[in-house]
Amino acid sequence: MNATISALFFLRLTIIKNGLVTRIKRLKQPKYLFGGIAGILYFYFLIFRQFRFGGTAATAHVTPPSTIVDLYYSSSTTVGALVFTVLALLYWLWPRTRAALTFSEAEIAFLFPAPIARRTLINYRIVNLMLGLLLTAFLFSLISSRSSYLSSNMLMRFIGWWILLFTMTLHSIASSFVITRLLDRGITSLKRQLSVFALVVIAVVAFVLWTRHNMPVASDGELMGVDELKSYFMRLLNTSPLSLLLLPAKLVIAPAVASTWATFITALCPAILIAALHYLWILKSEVAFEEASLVKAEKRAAKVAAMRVGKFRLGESKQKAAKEPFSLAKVRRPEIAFLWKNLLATAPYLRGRTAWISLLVVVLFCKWLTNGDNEILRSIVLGVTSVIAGYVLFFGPIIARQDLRNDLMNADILKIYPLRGWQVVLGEILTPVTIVSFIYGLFLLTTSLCLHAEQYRWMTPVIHWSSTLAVAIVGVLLCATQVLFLNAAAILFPGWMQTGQSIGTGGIEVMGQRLLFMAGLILIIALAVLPAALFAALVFFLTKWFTGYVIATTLATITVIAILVVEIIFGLEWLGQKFEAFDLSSELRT
Amino acid sequence: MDNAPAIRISNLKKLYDSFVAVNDLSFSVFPGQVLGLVGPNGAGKTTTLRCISGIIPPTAGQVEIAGSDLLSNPIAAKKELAFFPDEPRLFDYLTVRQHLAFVARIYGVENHETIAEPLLEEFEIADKADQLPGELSRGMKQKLAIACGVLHSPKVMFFDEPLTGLDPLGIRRMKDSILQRARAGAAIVLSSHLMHLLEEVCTHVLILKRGEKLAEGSVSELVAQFSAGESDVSLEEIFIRATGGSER
Repeated sequence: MNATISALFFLRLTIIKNGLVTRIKRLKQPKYLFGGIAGILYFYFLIFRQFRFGGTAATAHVTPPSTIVDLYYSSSTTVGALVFTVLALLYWLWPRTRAALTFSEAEIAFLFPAPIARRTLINYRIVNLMLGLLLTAFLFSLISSRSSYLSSNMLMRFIGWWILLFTMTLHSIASSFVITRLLDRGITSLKRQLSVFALVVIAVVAFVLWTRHNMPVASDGELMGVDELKSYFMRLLNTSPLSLLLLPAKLVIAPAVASTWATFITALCPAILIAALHYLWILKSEVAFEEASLVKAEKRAAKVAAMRVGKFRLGESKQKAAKEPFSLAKVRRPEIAFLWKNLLATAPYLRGRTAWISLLVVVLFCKWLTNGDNEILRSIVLGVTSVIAGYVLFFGPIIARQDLRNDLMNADILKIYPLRGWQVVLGEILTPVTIVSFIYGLFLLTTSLCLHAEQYRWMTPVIHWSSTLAVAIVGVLLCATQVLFLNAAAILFPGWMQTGQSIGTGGIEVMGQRLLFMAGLILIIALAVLPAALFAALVFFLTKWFTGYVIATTLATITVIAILVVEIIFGLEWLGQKFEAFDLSSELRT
Repeated sequence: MDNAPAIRISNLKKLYDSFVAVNDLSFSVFPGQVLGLVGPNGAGKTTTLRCISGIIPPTAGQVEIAGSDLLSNPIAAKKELAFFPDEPRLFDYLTVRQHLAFVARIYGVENHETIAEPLLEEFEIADKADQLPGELSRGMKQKLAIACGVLHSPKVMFFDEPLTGLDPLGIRRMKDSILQRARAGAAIVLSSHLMHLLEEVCTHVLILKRGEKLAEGSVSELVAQFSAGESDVSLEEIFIRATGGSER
């Protein structure tokens, strides 16, 4: 074997082996050991138990009639091919810069100045991609296994998905190489995009004209039902012009949706041929990718470094001085200064003006929705927004981390401020609570505005809006409770929260850690809500005989709010003391 | 000293879209010479080093390394060079010893253990040989990066800001290391803002500004050129006089 190729194999294999050894070694730490156990159990009970790799599902797999399977195979291939073709077109339409292959900074430092041919580097990258796609293909085959029309054979689906994903990746690389060549020849991105767009428009217009002439809609009633519409659509996709256009994509997709070994084997050869042609295309259109790869690696390294210290913001490319969220001049409370500081660290659109605009949009949209003849849409919006409001309340505090979870590294600075511990904690939690509460409130408002309160006789406007307000207040308090818990976890178990200083932040054990953390969060929320719920129930049942449902509900709600407020006050005081006693140097030493 | 330059750069040009990062740069470095690339921020020092070490392709010009053209014969040219970035960039999951083993394979170094062991001793990382980079200090990582770079005995070495992040002892060792390799016959180009490094280590200096060469020569030649008859003019003063004391 060529010495360079052997060295690159040595590199890849050693990295994989040492990565595994490091992961196994770190299981000596309880946080990884328990995380690992939780992760393995999760995978076993939710995924692996249902399947035997290479065989059939452990649970009975009901085979649908062959005609239905054939129909499904044909339609899923066609629809999949359409999606694949659109995605492939997007590679050409999307504004892309010069070709960049993904290399780490270490790979660039060692491999780019080394006596390695550019083609070998491309091959090295492609082999890495092939390996990297194994996990994605595995996950896709697990997800697609839920379809009873597909083959129950895991291996078949896995290979099919892998070929599909690999071909897509090769197409992305090949298109980026061609685009770079065009750039080198003076064809700008805009010119290329306009040319591709013009071709797409011509193709669409030609197809529409052809369809009008050859496949007119027979009658008005033909497209009334969903099934009829689906059938017409499938016939359109399978007519000769479009069918020919979709043929390459169909060939790529066919193994992933094959239901039997016979169809799979038949579909495999053309799919591999297309992947091989893409590979040859890449080698043929080889361009200088080093410069853009270097920039990409630097950006990636900067992002990873920012993530490791908890300073990464989604979608952010470069840190810029942000506009102040509000003026500090008239602020007297130091806690509000923390809110100001942490809001500055968030995305620039998370500001008061955006809040007012979104509020206005929601009100106008709901007004239009409830006034017009939009009953179906209104019901959909009502259902979706109520579910999203719940999700925001539960997941929002985990995602919004502009508090001690991000600022823990600055604990020494925070501790020299002339403030009590609870003031620092309160100040720190204000930002996530404000952001999450507002988003939650927006969805709650949409739900409330879309609700046909007049359908219920007992729901007067006063009851409707006071209930909305009560749900909003309870939601905000629950959000504050969760954020407080998450900050307590950061102070009490910084090793679990700040994993940034160790290498290898992924893996089943880290996933298990997160699962355990979520379980803890659910438990704490349940414990926090339990006293409030019990007292509220007691108040409700004691008073409803004398005052009726409305007043009893009001009193119960006030009880819930009062108990949650008391819990938060005690929580702040307790966590403030813990923060004052927190020793950053000993806790974060690695 | 050989008559043929180990590094010969002719009319090097590098464009980033329409921005000219390096323009019409030519210079030569002979074996045993140490050339210091100096210039204000954004002068094109790192871009120049990346172009002449084959990390990024130049837009125009010629780069010859130990007699081989880097653009037409990159493999032969790259076999003779080593590049050291400002930050040691190492593979997270390769131990110190495995880094050396990997580099030896890439450069086709036979019996690399016989070379690697003394290098580990020389750089005082022999006791860390089986550790991963995550377990090493910044200085140790730097030493490993240099050990990897010198393993194949390159004739040409490029250092980008070699003293970044080093403590005084590390700085002393780095200077010694550069001088030792130069004495052994390597042609070295380094970029730095630190004038004391240049004064102590470099035999020649090239001043860049906005991608263009302002001055080049031995330290004494530059002193003569910019001292305007004054005595005891420091390299720092020469740099300020040559660049006009600004980045633009």
